[in-house]
Amino acid sequence: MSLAQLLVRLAYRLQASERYGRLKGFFHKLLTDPRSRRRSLFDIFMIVLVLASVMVLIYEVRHPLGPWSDVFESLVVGVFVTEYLLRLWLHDDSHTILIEHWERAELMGLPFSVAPALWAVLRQKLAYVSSPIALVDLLAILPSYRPLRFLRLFLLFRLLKLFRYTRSLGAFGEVLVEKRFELYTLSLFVGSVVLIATVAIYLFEAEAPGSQVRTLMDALYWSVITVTTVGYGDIVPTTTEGRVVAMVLVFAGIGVISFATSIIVMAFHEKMRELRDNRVYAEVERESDITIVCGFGRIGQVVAERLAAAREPFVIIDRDVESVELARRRGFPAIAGDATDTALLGNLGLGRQASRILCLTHDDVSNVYITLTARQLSPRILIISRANKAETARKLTQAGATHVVRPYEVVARMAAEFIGQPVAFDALYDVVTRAAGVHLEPLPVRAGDWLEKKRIGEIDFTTQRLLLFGVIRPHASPGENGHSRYDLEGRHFYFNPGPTLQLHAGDILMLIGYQASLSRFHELASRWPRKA
Amino acid sequence: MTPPKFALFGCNPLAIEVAWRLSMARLPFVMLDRDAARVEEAREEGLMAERIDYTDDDALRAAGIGSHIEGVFCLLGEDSENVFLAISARALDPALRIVAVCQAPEAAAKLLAAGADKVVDPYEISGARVHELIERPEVVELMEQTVFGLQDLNIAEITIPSGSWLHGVRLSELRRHMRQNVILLGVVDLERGKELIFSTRGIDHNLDFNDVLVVIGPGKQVESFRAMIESPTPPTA
Repeated sequence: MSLAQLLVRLAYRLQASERYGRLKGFFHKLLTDPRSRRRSLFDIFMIVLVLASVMVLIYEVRHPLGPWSDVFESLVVGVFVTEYLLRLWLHDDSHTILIEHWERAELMGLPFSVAPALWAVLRQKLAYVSSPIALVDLLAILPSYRPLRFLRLFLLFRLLKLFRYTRSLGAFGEVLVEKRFELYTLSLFVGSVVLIATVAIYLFEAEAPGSQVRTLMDALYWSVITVTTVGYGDIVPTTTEGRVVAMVLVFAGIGVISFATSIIVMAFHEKMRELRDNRVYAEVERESDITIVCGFGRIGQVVAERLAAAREPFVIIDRDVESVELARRRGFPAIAGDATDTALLGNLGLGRQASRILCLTHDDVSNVYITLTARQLSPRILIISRANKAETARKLTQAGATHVVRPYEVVARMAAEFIGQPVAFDALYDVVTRAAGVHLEPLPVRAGDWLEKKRIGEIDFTTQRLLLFGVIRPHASPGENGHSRYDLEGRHFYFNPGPTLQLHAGDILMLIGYQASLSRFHELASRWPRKA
Repeated sequence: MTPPKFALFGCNPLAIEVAWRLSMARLPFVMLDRDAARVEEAREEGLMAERIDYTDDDALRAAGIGSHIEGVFCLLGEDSENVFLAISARALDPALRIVAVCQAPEAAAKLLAAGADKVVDPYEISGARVHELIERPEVVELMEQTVFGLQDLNIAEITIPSGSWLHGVRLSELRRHMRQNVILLGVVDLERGKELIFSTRGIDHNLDFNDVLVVIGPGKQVESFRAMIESPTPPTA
């Protein structure tokens, strides 16, 4: 009974211990966390170690290396053993299982017995030990304990360990697992064909004069070499019956090869897309402040190119596989899928590392649905949606879009403004879109800034080569009269304000000027002491 | 009734959007299309629309191109149609202002070669708009609500007429005389090219006839500024 109490107390202590948690967290990051940078470094280290140990093994065959190779070998084995034990430890939390059992017993008023609880712990660990990847780890260690020459071959199992450290090799294994039904059928077929051929050739040839088939082993070897269409020609049938068997076997071989090839090609073809998707997910995991672009039509393409030019991270989702292919060919990360799928958006980290989503599909219905899905996932993200019809714009706003872009409206506005005053429109458009050297830039006034409490008349914009277009002020700040005021949503815009307007923290100055003048003014505004 | 100054070719949703913009700006226009059903649709929206075969030069002339039409919008669905229309219209009137939309990006150059003054790629500018909304939402929102929107803050271009007092006057001199609540963005000297000479740049531009002043301001202030520019004598300050 005291053992049970001791174990339970230990379990609770571990549960409460911050240091234990930190330690486990550290090793989790190092060994298993797919997102951590340390893990990828560790993986590279292990790959190098495995390759080095196998290379030493090969080199040693002809050139004895002396004691240093033994030191190296024990070092490698030491690392492998430590890694194995750490992984076993990380696989699950034994103390939580113990606590769970104990608490359940307490709740039901039953006596707590240690044996089932420990058995549950052990079962969890055994489940790990019997997993294929753990078996490979074990096989990589075991042969080192026996100096038997034959077992050295098993050291090559270390190469299998590479599967653990490279994701694409792992996918190869997955392909085989996924196609196990087809492969099983194939092996059954091959097995029976080879068996029949082996027995047949043995019956016909074993006693024939001048025949090379002496034993059943010879017969099996010949069948396998023939059925796989390798055909070394070291053993050839001499009797007519034997030749008939060979002819039939050759055709069966062609069937086998094409069947096997088609299974593997199909499997890889299916897997390839998933692999690429996984790669995109992995890339997305690493980035922060990412933009999700839904729909890679013409507008989506323009946006993607601009984002790429601005070196902002983004990922494209499109339902159409061809569009996704096009995006990938241009080097953009893209995933084929439905953007209305909550799980997909969640996988891409919407609301976590993805802070913006752009709904740019051709279809207004889809855009509304994506907008709604995204808004439900996170209330804080920025959603920009495209509306082809005027009526959709309001629905999108209702669904939660932050901004709505209507292509027809944008075009109509440009065309109509241009036709009235082409020169002025072009000039202003260049300024707004930063196509020319002159830009329109916002400069926020921060608390404690040089600009705070200044009056417009006190700032000499002209010598700074700047034009003050106006000041945007939130409704919360006190309004001022005597200036042209325009309403924005939740804010006022003071156009070309007079010299008396006083700036407050939270105001935004809209300045027009050359990039160089603007950046200099930005710098001055943030650097100068308030009393200057 | 005043004869329409602008012709919109194509009676599609885009053209109706443009028509709506033009009627907000009180510019007289007419919508033209080859397809009777689409013309009928535009009429149902309450817009002035007529059926016309734009491949026929006589029909274009009859619609007013070469006489009272000042500007043409080529908003037809196919790039080839718009190119054809731009060529026909340009041949009829070299002074016409032609704005065209293009579907494929490579059609833009063809439309310009065909005589269009401005080509708008709907996808390009919508994409640009989306990106701008991410990068600088304040700027886009401000411009959409004020200058490009429906509030009384407009851009205007004022050509310096011959006989204005501004001939030979420096830009800084003009800035000293400005009493109106307008912003002088800069000057475009059409003889030198279409580039804007920004008003606070170090170089003090010497104003000339036919220079175009680009200003932003409320309607009335802009009108008063225009009157000052066009007057033969400098204002008494």
